Amino acid sequence: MREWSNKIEHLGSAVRFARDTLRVVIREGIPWRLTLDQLYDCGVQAFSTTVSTGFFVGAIMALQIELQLRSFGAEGTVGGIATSVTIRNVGPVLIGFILVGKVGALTTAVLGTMRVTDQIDSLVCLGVSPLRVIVAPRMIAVVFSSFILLMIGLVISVGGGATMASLGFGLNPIHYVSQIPRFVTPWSVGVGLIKSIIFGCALGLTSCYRGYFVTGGAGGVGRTVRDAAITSLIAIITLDFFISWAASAIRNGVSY
Amino acid sequence: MGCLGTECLQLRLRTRAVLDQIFSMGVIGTPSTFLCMAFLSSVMVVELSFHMRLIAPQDAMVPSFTTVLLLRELGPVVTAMLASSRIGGAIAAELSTLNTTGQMDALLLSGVDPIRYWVVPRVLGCLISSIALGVLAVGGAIVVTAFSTASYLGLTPPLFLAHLFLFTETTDFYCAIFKSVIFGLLIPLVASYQGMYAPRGSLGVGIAATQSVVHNSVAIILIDFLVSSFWYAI
Repeated sequence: MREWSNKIEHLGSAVRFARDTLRVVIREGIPWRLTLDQLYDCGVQAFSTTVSTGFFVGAIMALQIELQLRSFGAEGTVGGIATSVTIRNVGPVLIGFILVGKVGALTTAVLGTMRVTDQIDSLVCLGVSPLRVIVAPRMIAVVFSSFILLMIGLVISVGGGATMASLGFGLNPIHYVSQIPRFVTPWSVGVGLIKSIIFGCALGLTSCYRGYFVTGGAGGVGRTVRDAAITSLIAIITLDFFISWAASAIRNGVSY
Repeated sequence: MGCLGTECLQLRLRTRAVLDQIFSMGVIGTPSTFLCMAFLSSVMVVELSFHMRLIAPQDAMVPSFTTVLLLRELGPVVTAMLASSRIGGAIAAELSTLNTTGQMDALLLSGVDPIRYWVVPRVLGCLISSIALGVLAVGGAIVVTAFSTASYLGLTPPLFLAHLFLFTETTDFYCAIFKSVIFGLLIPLVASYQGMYAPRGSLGVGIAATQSVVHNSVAIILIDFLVSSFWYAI
């Protein structure tokens, strides 16, 4: 019980942390220079990982959906269905998981190291707001770069699916791609994009908040990286459910 | 790995240490895994019923479709992803702290092999708890799928059971267990490597935890792809 009340407390103080950061950004503007540096750190370094993951996620889904569709003789539609499942649901979740490790854990570790080596306290002593100089650039960079990386990963996943279908099942890649407009509607792409941006926000907030308030020295940084990663994973899966549910409720006009 | 085999053959296992590891890895992580599997299977029911309506105007195939996808793919992968940050990050941080504080040198000086003393119990504990957790997670996911098809699609549980085995086969269960075994070996090995060979010093602990989460999650996706394609395509 105590554990759960602690979790709710964490949620509340994370929201206050986000509000404080947002207030600093609105009042004093975005620190462009620092944000660009962070964008390079988060985005460019995670690029190759995201591309390879996106490729393999697309390939895995093409394989699985092909096997299932074949069992009732609809394997001609595999391109459309596999792409739609990947873009709407599986792609954002799995690529988001990779970004939790690549972008989120890195941010938590860097912020936590700054905290335990008293760099954040020395900034406060110098009269510089650590929220503006350290937290805001990282949070903006994580949100923005995970959104962009998720989109890139989703586009690459179509290529992975087409490759898998042509190499593994002898399907013509052009036929695979031609199925996509039949099944992937702008609505589906929109759901994927909304999921990407919301996952990016959850990841940025969790990793910055947990990293900023690290306690317990070097061991504490290791523990916090782990906890932040688990929190982000659970947040991604939970948000995925609620977005899908809301999307289908809006679509069908029925409230469940 | 070779060392692991030798240990098992010579029956010199520290049973107590393995049991401790099973507790800290399997038991503590169970609630979060169940929570994630519950949300995951509900979302798959919602999403797959949307997709099934695109090609066939009926919901009867949704339970089986969801179960197959959960068993073959998403159940093992999501469980392993959670384990890779929970267990992998913990092992890497723990071992690099031990290394930084000079305890590995102390072990070497007293003539004990650190791999035998630290790594082997962790690998075995993780393997056992990964298999158990994998089976439980997939079972829980199927139960939640039954509930969410009942509430979302209006299929009653008997109807769900009747439709469950349309496509689901025994080999899918074996595939889920096989993937759990592979991931249960992969996660502690990668994490122990990252932890033992991280740079010494306080920075090394953060680096080890981060690197082990990153390497594990990429390796899980890659190995999952390989296992799936070998299992089903050949």
